Amino acid sequence: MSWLDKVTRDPRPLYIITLIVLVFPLINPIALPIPISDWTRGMYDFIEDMAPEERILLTGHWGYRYGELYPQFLAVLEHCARKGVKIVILDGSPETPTFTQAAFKELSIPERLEYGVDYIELGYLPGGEVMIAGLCANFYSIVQKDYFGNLLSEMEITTDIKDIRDFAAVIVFTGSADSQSWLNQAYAPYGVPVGHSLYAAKVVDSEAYFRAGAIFGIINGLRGSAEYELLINRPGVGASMMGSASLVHLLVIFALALGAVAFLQQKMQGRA
Amino acid sequence: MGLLISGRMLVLTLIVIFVVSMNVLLYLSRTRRFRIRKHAAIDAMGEAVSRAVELGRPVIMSPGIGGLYSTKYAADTAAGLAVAGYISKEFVAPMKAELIVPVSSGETLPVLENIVQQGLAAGGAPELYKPHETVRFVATTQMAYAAAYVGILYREKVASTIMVGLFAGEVSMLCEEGARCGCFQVAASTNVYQIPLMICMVDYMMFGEDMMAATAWISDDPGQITTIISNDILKLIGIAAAWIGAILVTFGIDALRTFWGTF
Amino acid sequence: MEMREIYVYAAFTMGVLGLLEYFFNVPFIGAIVGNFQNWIVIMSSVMLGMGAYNNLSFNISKIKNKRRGWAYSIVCVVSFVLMMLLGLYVKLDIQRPEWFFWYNNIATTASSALWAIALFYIVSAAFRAMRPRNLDAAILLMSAVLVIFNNAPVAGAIHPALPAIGAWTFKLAAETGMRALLIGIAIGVTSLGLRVIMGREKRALGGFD
Repeated sequence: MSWLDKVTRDPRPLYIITLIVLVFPLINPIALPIPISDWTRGMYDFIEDMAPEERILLTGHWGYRYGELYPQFLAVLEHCARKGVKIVILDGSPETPTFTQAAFKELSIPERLEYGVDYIELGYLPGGEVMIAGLCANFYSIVQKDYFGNLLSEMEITTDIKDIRDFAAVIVFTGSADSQSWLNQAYAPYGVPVGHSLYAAKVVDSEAYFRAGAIFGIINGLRGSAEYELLINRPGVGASMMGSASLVHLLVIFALALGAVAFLQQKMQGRA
Repeated sequence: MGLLISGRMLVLTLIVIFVVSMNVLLYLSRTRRFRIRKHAAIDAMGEAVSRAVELGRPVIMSPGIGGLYSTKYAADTAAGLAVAGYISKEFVAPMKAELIVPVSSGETLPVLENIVQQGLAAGGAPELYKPHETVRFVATTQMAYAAAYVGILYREKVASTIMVGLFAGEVSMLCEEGARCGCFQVAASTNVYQIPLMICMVDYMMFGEDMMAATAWISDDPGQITTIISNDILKLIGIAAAWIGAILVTFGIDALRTFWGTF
Repeated sequence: MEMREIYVYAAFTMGVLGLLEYFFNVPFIGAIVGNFQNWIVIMSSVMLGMGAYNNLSFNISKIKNKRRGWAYSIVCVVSFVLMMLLGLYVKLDIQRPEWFFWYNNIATTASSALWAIALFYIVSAAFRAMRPRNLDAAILLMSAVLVIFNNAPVAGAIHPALPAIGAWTFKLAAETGMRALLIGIAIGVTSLGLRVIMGREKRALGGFD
């Protein structure tokens, strides 16, 4: 049995190589140029062009898909905070508020902005797309209090909201159907601009909408968060992980090539 | 503001075309039998169950991680429900196989319990249904579901897997571990970013429209078959509109797009 | 009248009202549909609790009857109860470090570890499963390699043309195919929804023909 056959049966050597390739750049960082894609540029330019009195809705699962979505959320939240736009946060899953609070702490949001005037957290609202549809049609029919139990009608940032058209944009941080749901319920009926901040595998879903102009920007996984961090000049987790990410990409190509060699070997021996 | 909300009439028109064509075809189906092709993966499901029976090991049928509330993914879950009922009645009950259905969402659990129980009863083996064992709620979150699924694969020594429904990032774990356990795997999904992965890792695959058509074929209900044909009519309209629109826009004529955008 | 018939009529009524509300500007229909949406949000909240109850019920039953794997059920139940007690202890204030410490270091770490495992599965699947068995598979593999170059910053360091070729492949093949698939899936989803509304698809309502 050749060593290729052995690895086919027991892939643990591959796992060890993957671990080494993943960890090595974390110990010895590799500086790589990171070109900015037009997806990320679209997201950045939109927020950069927003006026301070405009309201933005940030919603998604940065708690659930912590690895890829949380750095994206940090970068976009920082950018919005610097621009002074009004930030309304709608948590997309029950565990997300924990990370929203962690993000506020990490970026010193309570020290920089005033709660209820510059930013607010609505908490998690169950119901999926039905909830989104209701929120977009009549904001106060779905939510009346924020995450801490304060009445939204008494908060300066939300007192005059009727429906989704009172938001300048919605940015969805997700790896699931939410991205499509907000397109269906906010963009299609009301024309509210929607941006997608997704994990890398889901970008192909949104690319068609981006080219058609239905969404104004996409943050593409960890690579996208690295690009965004460079644009706002605040390198963070995304940028620091690019070395690892790049080498693992090359490892996958190597594994594909090795698999092809193994297949050809089996074919020549009449076993494939 | 008038009675009609502008910008949405294109969708309403397509819905009307669909409903009219479906009902016309349904009327015609009283005298004429319409057929849609059977996907090879449907036979493969029977093969999967018979393999499990031969090996004396259970078969897993996973309806995915979706629920019934999302408009995009409820269709995937509904397809999973249909397949669960079909394999319970047609394969699991007659072959006296052991079926395990791990469930991820709370709203799907009672529906699946009902469907599987009735399917096994209709197939002549109601005793095969074990409460909390056959259909089991495992976890709501994606990776927790995958971990539970892989745990079942190894602990119960599953012989075959049938995955029909919404599958996302956890699919690499589900399919690779299934392959490592030596399982015969049949999968169906509309999640386009996981389909390439699944195609490489499973033995039989239905993707996109195949999955929707499979539920129609499984039912052999003229109503469902005619809806599939109506789907194809809409697709033909879409293809024609794409060609006409592309040619018009190439020559600088934007009238079609402007009309449907405002009407 | 059977229960299933009631489900079908309810689905028809709510479906038709939802469609009418989307296409026509009739205030009282909008109000009715708005109420339905509120009920669904309330029901979803109840479902969360039901999901937790089902999970507990299944695991407690497993422990009681000592079914296979009951030790894991003990871990599940104990974790559930501990986190619930912790949540009550911090009076649902998740900013408290006690909550964040336990949640972040157990739940998030476990979840992140599981997501990280997916990488190893991808690498092993790339070697074991993604082989050029025929021309179609070979083309799939080549396009996968090119698109990977688009995503990896190191590709630009190897040769500037690699990311450009990857981006071109992505736009030409992935995006084009994606549009077609999206249209097909949207038509399929719409037709399934209409079938449920018209009572032609009963399985989604819990029925079996």
